[in-house]
Amino acid sequence: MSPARHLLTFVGGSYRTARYVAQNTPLRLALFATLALAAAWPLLSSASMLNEFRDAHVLAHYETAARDSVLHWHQAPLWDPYYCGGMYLLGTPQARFLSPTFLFTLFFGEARGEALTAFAMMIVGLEGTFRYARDRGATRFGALLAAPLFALSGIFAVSPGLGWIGFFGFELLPWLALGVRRALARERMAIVLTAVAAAWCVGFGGTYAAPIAALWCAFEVAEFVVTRARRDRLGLVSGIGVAAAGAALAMALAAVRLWPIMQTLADAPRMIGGTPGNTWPVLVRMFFFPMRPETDNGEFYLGFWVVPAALLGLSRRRSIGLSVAVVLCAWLAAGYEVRPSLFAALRELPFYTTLRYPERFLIPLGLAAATLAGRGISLAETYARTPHARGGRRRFVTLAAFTVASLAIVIDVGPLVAQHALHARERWLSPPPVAGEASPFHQARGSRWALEYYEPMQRGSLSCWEAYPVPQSPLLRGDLKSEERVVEPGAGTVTERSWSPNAIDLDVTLSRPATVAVNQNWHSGWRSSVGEVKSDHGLLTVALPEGTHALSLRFEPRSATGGALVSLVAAAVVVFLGVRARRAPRVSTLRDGVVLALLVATPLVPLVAMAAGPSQKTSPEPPLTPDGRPVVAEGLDEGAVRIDAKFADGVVLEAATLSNPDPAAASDVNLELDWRRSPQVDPGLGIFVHIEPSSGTAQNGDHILLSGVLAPEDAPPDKTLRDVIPLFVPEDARGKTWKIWVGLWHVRRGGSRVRVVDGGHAQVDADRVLAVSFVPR
Amino acid sequence: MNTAWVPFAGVCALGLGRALTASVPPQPPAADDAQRREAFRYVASDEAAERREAAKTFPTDLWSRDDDFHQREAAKARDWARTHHVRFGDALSAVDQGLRERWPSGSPTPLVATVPPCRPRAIY
Repeated sequence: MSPARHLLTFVGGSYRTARYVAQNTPLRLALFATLALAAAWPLLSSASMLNEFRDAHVLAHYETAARDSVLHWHQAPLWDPYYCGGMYLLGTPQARFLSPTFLFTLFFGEARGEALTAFAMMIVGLEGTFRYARDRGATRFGALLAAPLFALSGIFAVSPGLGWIGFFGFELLPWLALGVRRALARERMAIVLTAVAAAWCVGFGGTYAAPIAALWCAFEVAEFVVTRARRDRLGLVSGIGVAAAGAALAMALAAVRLWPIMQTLADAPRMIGGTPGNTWPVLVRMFFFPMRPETDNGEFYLGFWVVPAALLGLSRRRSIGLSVAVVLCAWLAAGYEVRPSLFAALRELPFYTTLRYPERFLIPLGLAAATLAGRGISLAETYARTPHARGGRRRFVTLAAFTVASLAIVIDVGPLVAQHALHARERWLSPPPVAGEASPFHQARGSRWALEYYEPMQRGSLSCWEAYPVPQSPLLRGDLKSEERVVEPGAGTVTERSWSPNAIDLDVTLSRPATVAVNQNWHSGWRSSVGEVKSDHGLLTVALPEGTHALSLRFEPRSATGGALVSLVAAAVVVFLGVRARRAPRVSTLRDGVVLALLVATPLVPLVAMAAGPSQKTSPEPPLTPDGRPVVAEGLDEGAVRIDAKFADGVVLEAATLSNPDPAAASDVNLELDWRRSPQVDPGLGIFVHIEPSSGTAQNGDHILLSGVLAPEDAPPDKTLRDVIPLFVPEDARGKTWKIWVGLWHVRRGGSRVRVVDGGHAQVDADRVLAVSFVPR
Repeated sequence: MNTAWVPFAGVCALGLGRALTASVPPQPPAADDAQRREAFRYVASDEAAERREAAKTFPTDLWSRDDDFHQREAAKARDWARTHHVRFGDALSAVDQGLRERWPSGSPTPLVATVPPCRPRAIY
């Protein structure tokens, strides 16, 4: 036999084997597990090590703190005293412990659990992509080839190195999409699938996977509406009804995470400004080019090898939906670089205002491209196997296209797996921290750059970073001998009887009514057995009467209890629906629909019961400036330097005052801008501050929140709003004239400046007002 | 168990086994008390200067200044631990203990035991 014949025989045999594997679920999963193992091998081989990247410290810490709560303290992971002076662990958006993968962390520790999570989630993603591609019309062979394109794509290679394990939540995207598609076809089991996948995605944390997955689901519904609107009105309505039931059940099942997260973000909204964008060449390099250090190349790698199959997929009429998804994702990924910006429009929606990185829409684009490729392979495969095509030139062309497109994807598996090893090698790893001798818990000044070292020492790190402004008291200290104290000198004593994250027991003896302060942040979830829990500038305190008290403090936030109850009821509904789906797979009658609606509404009972309880204050104190004064005031302070500049959006800059009108070089001063807003103000306004010395480098102090705590649109109208900006005047500023220009801009809508209507007493230049001018001594 | 699932279970077991057998490299020895005091002094003596540098980098943002300082401080502690062949965690622990027990630091200004509240930059 000639070598060409040998090759053809080998290719044909491989194809038949692949088809056999694809249709045999255990073998298919074994193949997927092997691919995931190859990709995750470098992570698994270094699973004992600590990732020293800054974000990895923080994100791993949440997992460690949750494990510690469960295994060491035998408590639910509700409160994390080890970070930022204490924070709501269950309500932290980036924590990922409410997911089945937390079992890895529980049994094997955070570091090994992280590697195992990556391995397991890749298998989940591979099988999910396979099933989604099948549902989108790919043959088993086509879907088999499509699976690794998405599930092993660049983001899953990049994220472990950065500690962004939450991005593996995207591996659930095909499952969620599949659930919605089948729910639209009125399948009962699809409701279960949608609910479980969505709740898992939410529980897995991160601020991108769940919102982007929700958009994809909305897209699936829109596509369903467009394709069914004309021919099957009844099927359209009932399909949407079943999908809505799936969505409602998903929300209910995820309530144990959603409710606490919503509370956290209501207490401390995450504000994101800027107008990020990506040029087309940058996006192409991110998506098609292999990884290259110090560049963005390959961050969302699928590779050029996908192109032939994807182009074949585009040739199918039924691929229009996916083609539209590709276009929309690419448009979103371009951010503000393309006008009009779809990303800017998306940021106008609730829950999407906080998206910062448009390029992350290349992840769903990866799923669309992989599915298109699967469909392309399937088209050629089906055509080549059709009797009428078996002969002559057409058959040769079809077979050639099929072979080239398939081989290209098979070849692509190499770089797809290899990039995982490349990124894993880039990591900065250290031996894990050694647990110290048992010692009482203390807050330390700490360092978020080395956070994972503090919890094993039983130390909390006050040094704090998060993507949202964690409510943190300025009164926290990292040098106290005792973590609890009586605030009023000589009023009594306090002794710690027992300590754990969610429960602190104290013996207090007071000769007069006094306040006990705990060196942790206040939160509305703290309860005390005696006295009243209060916030003193955000510090946790308890006002107590005179006498001897056995004081018990417990962290029991209503959002956790209520969320858990709602999720439990929803879980029971999910189990019931799952069992029922075996006997009656489809929701086919009106009675079925009514029963389904009633079932899905069941979790509302605990929700309404909990929500009807007494309201909890989100913040007991007014927002304060960095120098401790209320941000909202009735009028200007004495000595304020009036400006009275009027801006187009109904905002007035009343005054601009330096705390020291004659500052020295190498000193700190405060610049106070006093604003006043009208009842109607444009949302998403930001304040820009240009600090321009007569020579040398200009600085800026652009910000969104007044005094770092209050958004202009959330501030009351017709009040003076103090915006205090600290300013360090460097040594080399001496003798130079410093001018500080101030103005307003639209932080999301293209970044345009707000027009200055009337400069008042100040000089105006390019829609900015000269607030102060000084020459440092 | 159905034997059809053996290959899948085998691959998963291999992954689990690899993660569980990944070895921990030998740890440097623990620092003694004298080393801990030396580590504290090494890290804390430059605090004022490090904070000044951080203020130059972030002149209008208190949280960013403090965060920048903590990065510098962690780098110094790591540097000291590496050159003295002791655990990095011990150097961090020494900084905490020195601050709490008021060890002599050599810093011209008092060490700061508080942090400004977390205010992540909204605009990069």
